[in-house]
Amino acid sequence: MPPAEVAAALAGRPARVDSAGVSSAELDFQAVYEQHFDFVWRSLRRLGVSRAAIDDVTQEVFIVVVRRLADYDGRASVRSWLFGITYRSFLGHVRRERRRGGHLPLPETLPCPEPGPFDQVRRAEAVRFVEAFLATLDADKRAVFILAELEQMTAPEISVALGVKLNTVYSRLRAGRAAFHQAVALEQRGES
Amino acid sequence: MNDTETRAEALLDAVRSAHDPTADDRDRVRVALGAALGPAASIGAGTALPEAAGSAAEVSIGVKAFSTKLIVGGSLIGAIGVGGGVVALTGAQPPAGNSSTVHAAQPVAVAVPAPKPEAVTGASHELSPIPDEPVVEPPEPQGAAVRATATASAIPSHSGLAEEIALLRRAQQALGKSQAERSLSLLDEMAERHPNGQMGEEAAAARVLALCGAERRAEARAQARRFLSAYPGSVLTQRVRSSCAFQQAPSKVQPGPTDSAVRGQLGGRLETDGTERKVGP
Repeated sequence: MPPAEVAAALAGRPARVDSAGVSSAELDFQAVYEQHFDFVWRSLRRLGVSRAAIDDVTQEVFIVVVRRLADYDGRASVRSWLFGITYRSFLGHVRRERRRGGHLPLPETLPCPEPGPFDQVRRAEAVRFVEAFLATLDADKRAVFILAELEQMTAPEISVALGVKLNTVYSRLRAGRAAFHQAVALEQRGES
Repeated sequence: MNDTETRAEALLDAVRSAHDPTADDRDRVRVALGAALGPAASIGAGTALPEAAGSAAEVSIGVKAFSTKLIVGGSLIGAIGVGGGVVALTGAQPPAGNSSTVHAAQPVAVAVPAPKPEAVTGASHELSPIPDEPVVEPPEPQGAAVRATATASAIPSHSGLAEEIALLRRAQQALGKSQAERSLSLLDEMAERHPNGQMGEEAAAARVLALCGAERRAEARAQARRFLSAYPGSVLTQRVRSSCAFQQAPSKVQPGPTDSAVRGQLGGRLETDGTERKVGP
């Protein structure tokens, strides 16, 4: 019997199937790692984890995933479940950094690209702009903005991922979007 | 859509495919995790959950080229790291040089034996604690992924998850030695140091059992109610439900006014707490 199914049986609950059709009975660590490593990494980078720390925080996330794999019951999408773990690991990382007397660096902007194709330069500028904007948001709004606007997850998925009410997701998203549009408007006027 | 909205969407569109890891990033973490989860890992079950007790509680973790599959026969709790005693993780340095070359870990089968008799001696069935946490320490920043960890004192204070696990282990060990107040003290320390930690669920369940051990039944009930509300789908639900919080007071003991009042206040809620369990949407 696959582990998640055993877990479900032991916990007295049926194995479930998430919105992507992944059954908790089918979930195994290898699959989670292969399919979602990029998502976890990307999310941590966007949340503001530096290049210097990201290996460690990513590893911490997947260690927790191993430990909690059997808890996954398919009621949320795998990505929602994973982001919950990722976000908590991120907050733990922030706390540890603060305890050490350090502070999280602002997201690192891409190095100034070599002269090259116009699209490459434009993309690098966009990344730099969005990273700088994300750094201005508090962690809660940043997480919602990343999931909604960059990962294009639905509000209910985000609600599950962050363990907050749907209305909270909407209100944080509204605030994040308003701030982003304001930043874009300033940039257009050459004031950023 | 006005200019600002168009520009905003263009910016987001350009960034959506950014921040992806490189193949080297993926392989580097893969190697570190392979070392953390595979080589020389030994998980010993200090105690098993009641459901697993008496069975051939055996958990195998097959690790082959980082294809970590949890092959479970008996107690799954051990496999997910809630069971087991200590994970000794040694060696297995990431390969030097070409980081894209992944050195496959040798297959490792880790057997978690049925609980040793002494592990439960002195602890009533009710108090048999949540099994020891395996100590898996997050790596040092420089990337040396894993090192052997056996005691709390060996764990650097900056290692949040490892420290949490160590504190929980000590709390459980104290409970196993009928030192319920000591266990509660350690859980308090854990809550204070890690208010939003990763082990909150396990700590909350352990607190119920510790309060039972301290014969603070009313508080155990309140704690159990909070636990069920916060973690409605927890694998530890059954363990909490089998604790003193859900048991009738011994019939030979006349319930005192406080106990009776508390039962009146909480008993009904414990039975009809469906709505309270809903946390968030």
